[in-house]
Amino acid sequence: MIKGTNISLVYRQENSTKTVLKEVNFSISKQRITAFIGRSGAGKTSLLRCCAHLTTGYTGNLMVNERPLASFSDKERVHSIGFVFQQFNLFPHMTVLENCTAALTYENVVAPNTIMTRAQELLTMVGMYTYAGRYPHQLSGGQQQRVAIARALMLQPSVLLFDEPTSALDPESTSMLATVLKNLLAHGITVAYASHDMQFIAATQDRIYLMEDGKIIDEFDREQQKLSDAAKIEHFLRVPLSF
Amino acid sequence: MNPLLQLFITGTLTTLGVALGGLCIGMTLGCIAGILSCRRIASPLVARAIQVYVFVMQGTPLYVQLLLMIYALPLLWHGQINPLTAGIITIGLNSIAYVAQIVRGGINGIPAGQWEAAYVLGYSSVGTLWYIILPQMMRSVLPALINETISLVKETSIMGAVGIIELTKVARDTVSRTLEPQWYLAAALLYLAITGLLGLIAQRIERKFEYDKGH
Repeated sequence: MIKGTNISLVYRQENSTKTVLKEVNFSISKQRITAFIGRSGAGKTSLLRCCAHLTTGYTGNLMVNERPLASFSDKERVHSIGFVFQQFNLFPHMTVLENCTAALTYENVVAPNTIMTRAQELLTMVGMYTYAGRYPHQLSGGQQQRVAIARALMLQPSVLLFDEPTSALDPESTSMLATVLKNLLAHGITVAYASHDMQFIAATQDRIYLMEDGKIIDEFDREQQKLSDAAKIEHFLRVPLSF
Repeated sequence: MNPLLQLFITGTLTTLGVALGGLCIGMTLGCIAGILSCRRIASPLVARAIQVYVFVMQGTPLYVQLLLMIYALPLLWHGQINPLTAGIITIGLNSIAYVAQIVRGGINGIPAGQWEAAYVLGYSSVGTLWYIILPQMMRSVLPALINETISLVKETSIMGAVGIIELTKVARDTVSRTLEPQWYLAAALLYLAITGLLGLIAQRIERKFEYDKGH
């Protein structure tokens, strides 16, 4: 699905440089949930941003479905990779329904009634159809996030990336999000997220990469058992990993 | 019709004409300059040029700009310029500087996340600006743009100094003839009527952009 080989990223400021990713190797496998975990500043968000082409200027190979991400047209990119931001970034001047229909309407390829039907289906899937006429400021954090998920899914991406998906959620919304993620898998969508919410990570992952100081220092895969000894991950999560 | 009343109507229409002409120039080119100088889009050279323009226009009196436009600029082609045309252009050029500042500040105030959200949804830069950024910006800059419009109407009152028969000049000429200073009050009331009407129109427009209130 998405495979990164020797991904490095350096931020250059006026008088200094900061290496945020150091030769990172990872793979986000099809129809599985991949978690990038670690403390703040470990490089998780930067890595996801590279995958969504929000951050460019990295070195190394980033392949999506065995094609270099850099060779994707904008249209190919947005129909392959969806991104849900930490702060959701819904468009405040549009209703929930308009937020969902805006991108496809702008693209002007799909018929308007098909766009509307798709938006209704997705809002129903995330339990937000009854809020279709509301504006983002009238929704709670969890509701906004579900709208952001529906909005991203409108373009039918094969992989959906989440940056710190639980950071703005209460415990109830967090457990609802775990259900939504599993629902996405059931619909054939690959999921990857960056988080340091230990309980959420322990409940929703098939593969975990532990990052520290821009490097992956440990990994764990539920199906293939331990890829390494995963002791660092267990220590970070403070819970034993189940198989 | 009473010739005095006719004079005041002509003066008011001239004031409105100059203001409207200046507003068209100021709003159109000011918005373009504001967009071109915002953080996300500006090229250093263009941004610098706009910065210098704003510095010059905001740092010199409108009256001096008007005198330069009427008496100095035509020397370039050894000709003349119609005072009314010069007045409209001057007030428009002056307004560009203020509108550009307002628009630039409005765009820079939109969180970077909105640009990024548009990017991951496939919007081009122009599409992002048009459908995502400008509608949000309008809501925040509208009060400032309304203030600029009202200021612009009031600033037309100096046009009389170069012979344009606008409202203030009509009042001044009438007082000179009749020695009745209450005609200044008439002019003031007419300015109030114009700016009050603008305020009402502005309120209606503002309500259209208030997506975060009263639902």
